[in-house]
Amino acid sequence: MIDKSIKKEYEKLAPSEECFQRILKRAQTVDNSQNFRKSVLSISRMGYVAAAFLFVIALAFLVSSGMFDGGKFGVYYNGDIITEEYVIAKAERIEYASSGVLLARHDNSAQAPAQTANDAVTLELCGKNANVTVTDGVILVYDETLGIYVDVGETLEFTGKTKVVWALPEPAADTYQLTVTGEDKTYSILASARADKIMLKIK
Amino acid sequence: MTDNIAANCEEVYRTYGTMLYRICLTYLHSSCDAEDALQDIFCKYMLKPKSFKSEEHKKAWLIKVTANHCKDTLRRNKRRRILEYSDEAGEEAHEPAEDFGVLEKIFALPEKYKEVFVLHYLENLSVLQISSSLGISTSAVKMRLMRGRELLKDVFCEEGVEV
Repeated sequence: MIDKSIKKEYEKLAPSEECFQRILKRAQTVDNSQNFRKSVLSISRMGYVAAAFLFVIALAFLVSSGMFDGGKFGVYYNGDIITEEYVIAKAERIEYASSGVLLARHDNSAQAPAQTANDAVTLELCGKNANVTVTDGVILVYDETLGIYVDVGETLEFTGKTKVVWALPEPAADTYQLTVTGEDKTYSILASARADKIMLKIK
Repeated sequence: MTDNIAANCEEVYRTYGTMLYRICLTYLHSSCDAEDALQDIFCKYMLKPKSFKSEEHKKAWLIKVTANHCKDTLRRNKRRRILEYSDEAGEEAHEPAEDFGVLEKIFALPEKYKEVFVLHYLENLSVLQISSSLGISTSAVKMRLMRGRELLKDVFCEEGVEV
């Protein structure tokens, strides 16, 4: 227990009103700066959301415009688009079944297949809602188990990048042709076999 | 803590402000220093994100911060007083002391006895509350209270004041 007079003296001690006002003023400053920080944060968050939204829109636009469908429309060999200039391709030897399944792409001692092509070349077709018509030879779609076999006069539709093997018929003739149509354009790919090379040209 | 810092601060000040001011005064012996310390303590309260389990937890936190802040201030002031030593007069430069009357005897107690004495007898905190606020054991609180009483008894008996 303590004497009441001491306690009374103690209880008289109190901070000034100015002290309270200074504290309150500082609290308001902190309040304002935190509110400002929150509003900046929310604005920057909105900015990120808007940027993400625009990115999605741009991506959708690019996809719909065909940018990611495999690139520029055309026929490619070894990554290069075939233009008016000759592209020299290395002739491949392939063996395939009449169902279109690619059996082998090089000389081997496999059982005699239904078909053999001494001049074949792997091409890549690029485009959106395009198609290729075989004038000479056959086209086998690259997927070795798929068995898509496009014969003379038939048309293969493609969208995106599609690897195909173009097998030139035997005996070798001067020029063979594929017709590729897409994006309101039509190309003829011409191939001429020369020893172990194939010359490719677009018309 | 509510989103409105100013409103929350005002509420806490009205509840604990005077108590904290008195505690500051106990350590610092100066109303100006005590008010400055009080402002600093409330700044810490405003800026530090915290969640209190209960009102008692908040009170204990405030008292702890107050005690630590005042001790830091005393250490800083001590260093400053040494540096402000007046060469001309050959006397130590110091601020004029305030007179707190009969409380002076309590304020003159050694710090570790004074703080528990004030918190228990003048602020009516329990031994357990003082223990959690100051971070010392309950037995240490009791020992310091006993020692503080003995010291004060000697002082007041000399002056004929009943403690």
